[in-house]
Amino acid sequence: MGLRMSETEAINKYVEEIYCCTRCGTCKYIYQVYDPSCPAGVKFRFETFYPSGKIHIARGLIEGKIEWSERIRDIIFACPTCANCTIQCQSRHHAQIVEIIEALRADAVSKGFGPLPNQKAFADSVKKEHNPYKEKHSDRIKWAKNLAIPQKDKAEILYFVGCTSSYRQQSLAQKTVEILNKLGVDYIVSSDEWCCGSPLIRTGQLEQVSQLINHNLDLIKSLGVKTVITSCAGCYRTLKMDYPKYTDKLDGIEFLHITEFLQQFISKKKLKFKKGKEFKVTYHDPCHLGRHSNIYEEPRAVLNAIPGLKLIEMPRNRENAWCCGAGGGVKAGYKEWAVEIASDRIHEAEQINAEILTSACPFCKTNLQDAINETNSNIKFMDIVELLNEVII
Amino acid sequence: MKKLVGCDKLLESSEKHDIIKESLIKIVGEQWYSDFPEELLIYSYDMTENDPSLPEFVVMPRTSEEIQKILKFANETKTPVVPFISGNNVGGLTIPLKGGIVVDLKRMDSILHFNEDDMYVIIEPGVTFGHLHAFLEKTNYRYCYPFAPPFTSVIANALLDGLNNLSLRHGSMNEWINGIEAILPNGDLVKIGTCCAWGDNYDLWWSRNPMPDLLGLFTSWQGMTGIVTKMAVQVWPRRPIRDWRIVLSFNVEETYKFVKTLTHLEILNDILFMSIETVKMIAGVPYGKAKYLEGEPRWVCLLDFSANTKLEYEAKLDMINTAFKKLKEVDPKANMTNLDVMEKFYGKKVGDIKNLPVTIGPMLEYGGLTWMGTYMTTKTEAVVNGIKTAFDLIDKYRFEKCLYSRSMKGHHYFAFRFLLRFSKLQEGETERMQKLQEELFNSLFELGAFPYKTPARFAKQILKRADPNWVNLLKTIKSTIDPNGIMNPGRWGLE
Repeated sequence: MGLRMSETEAINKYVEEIYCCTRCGTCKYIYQVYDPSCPAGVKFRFETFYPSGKIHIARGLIEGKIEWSERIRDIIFACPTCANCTIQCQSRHHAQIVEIIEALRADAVSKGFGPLPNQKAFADSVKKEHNPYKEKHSDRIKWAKNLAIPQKDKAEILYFVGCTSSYRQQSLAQKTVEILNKLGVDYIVSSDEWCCGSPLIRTGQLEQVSQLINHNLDLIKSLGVKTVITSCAGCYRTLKMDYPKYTDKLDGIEFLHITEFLQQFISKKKLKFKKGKEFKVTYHDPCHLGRHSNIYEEPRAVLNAIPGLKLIEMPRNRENAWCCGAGGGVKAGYKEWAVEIASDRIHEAEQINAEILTSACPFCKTNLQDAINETNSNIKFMDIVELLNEVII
Repeated sequence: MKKLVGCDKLLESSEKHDIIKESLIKIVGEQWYSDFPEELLIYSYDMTENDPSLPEFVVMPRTSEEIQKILKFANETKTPVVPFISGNNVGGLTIPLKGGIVVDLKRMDSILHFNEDDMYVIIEPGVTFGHLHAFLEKTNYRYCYPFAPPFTSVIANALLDGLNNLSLRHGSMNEWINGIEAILPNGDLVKIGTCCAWGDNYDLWWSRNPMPDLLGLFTSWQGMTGIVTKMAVQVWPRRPIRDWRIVLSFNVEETYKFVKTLTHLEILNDILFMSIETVKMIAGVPYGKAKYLEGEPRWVCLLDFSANTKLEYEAKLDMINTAFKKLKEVDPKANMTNLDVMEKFYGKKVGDIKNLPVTIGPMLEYGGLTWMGTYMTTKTEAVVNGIKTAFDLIDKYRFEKCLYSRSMKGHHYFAFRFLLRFSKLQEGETERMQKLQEELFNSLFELGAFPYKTPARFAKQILKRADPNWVNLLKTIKSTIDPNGIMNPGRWGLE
């Protein structure tokens, strides 16, 4: 059959999984529900854009039947890596579908065909300022200017803020520390946190990743930290799922999403709530928190603890949730399409008459809010920490 | 835009390509056109052992009008056209043997109408079994589902004589078609069935009788006579009680007679006759390991039945029990159980067989899946010999003996099929499967088994063995409808 394998190609690691796929189409829709599951498939419709198509592109490249091209780059980067396909696919390679797509991206970058131009800017900025937003590293905790964050050298808990909350969705960082302060948590925030590496890993730009991981781990250890909490689903996925692939030096450091951390307080009844009126809220599962990390119930436990809050579910929820469209470099690479994907989600939330749409990720917040603005929707978006901070004493 | 008339040999092929490209983009829009190598590659093969062949263009029309324009243009330029829908193809039937244009119909995916009184649904080609199932779940009606992933096109399966879990009662799927709208190779739109008189009124697509039945110009023609753009398919009332029984047995002849006895009682929706290897495959036994072990039951029958009342249910169960007692007299170790027990013994996946449409992961996860699927006589001797012959050949080529067969239309004929997993990653395995298929075809054809969804290479052989007058009629019809031979050329041994 003439497999054209080279040790330097990332997809070689997945040859067996790639040959599992018969293109049966099960990845295209929510299994036994039959709603669409793949944003790229819905948008572009050609077979190549579906997860199975991307796998068969990998197969074609391995067999030497097709050559790398800008078109292949555009196809493999047209995916928010939402991992819905990994849930719907019933074959044994299902869990590796996103890994195969990310491996293709890494190969595209190493061969000079990727990433997409706007995604390349991430790497340049991270190299210079340790964040993908071209912001000054020295401004990383500017968001905390008027907040009482603990000033100390060491603590057992680190709030890992993440670049998006540090520079773009600062309210999430601010409300998170306000909650931690109200709960009397002994924590620390570092001004020398670097990008977790997520935007680079998701877009196949792996050159700096080890350096970022080493820096962040050295930082975590130097601060005496045992538990790292984050309010960013992307950071959480990267710290918890990707870091162990790059290093064996995690030494029992625990990584928690803020909703996991807060649930511990809820189960011990340590949160004190204001009295509130009834309001209907629906929760959007961030892909990196839900399908990537299997955290579905903790955010719901936090929401259900809020007096007066009536949690209503969208038809596509938990592992079947429709992606917000921001992940996997799509927000940078395919700006308009990202908002189209999010607009579908806004429509779904409107259909169930939710007053507030909430989530647990600054990236989701950015894109869903953009879609609210684009569609002139009356629905209000609040991240879960923004919502919670408003109702606790 | 240049006009390309006929197969103009004076034009350089790249110039011809550009002219066709320009014309197709004009019809469907740039967004729904592709001639990129990676797109063409994906449309060049399927999951089976059939050899690949590349198309030159792929288009995704949304309307019948666009398809009319595409076919009219293809006919004028003598460009081959291959209809394609879900990507879940078998038999190499959408592999463009002569290149040309793949018309991917998945954007035409609307359920257009449901007529509850006459019990039919009008659908477009992109509607899958899964979507029809979801639609009908909101009603009191059901359709039928094949042992295939849910995202298989209903129209494709109906046109290709597919079988499924109501085939014992109603036969193959083409028998349940009320009518169609199709585009002929010259671009003409035709309606077949009662819709020929009242085509714009979706409430009057209630039958294809009483008039000359022209549906046969499209069923099992493998897309060689046109593109079907709408179809009315019959649905049936869903009965409130449904249950299954599993019979595990040892004697092939007696088991088959038991199947026959049950079918003659006319109480079942479906009866599957399988080898134990098939159950093991469904249960998740890895490829190459689904084998019969000495001492275990050799045959497995799945009995699917339903009832409107408890009394009817109990009466049917009583008749099943009586038939089973007779089997037990001649096959004493035979056992009858239910799916819950099978699930406990073989694992949860076995239960999937009752929840069609489902994706049987273990069947589909080795890159290659094919079958020798035939319809054949119900004569006991033929079926028993067929099993023995096929098992010997499968053994010879070292594949798994996964028999998956069922009685059709009250046991008027029998669907005789072997599901064959193979690995496309393993060197030489595809070629080994091709040889097995060749031998299976030859041996089973001699026993009176006629392949359905017939790959081109077997169709050619059938033409050599068939009555010349039948072949001439076939060719006459084809050349009359498609004089330029643009529709899926190479199928049925016809160019």
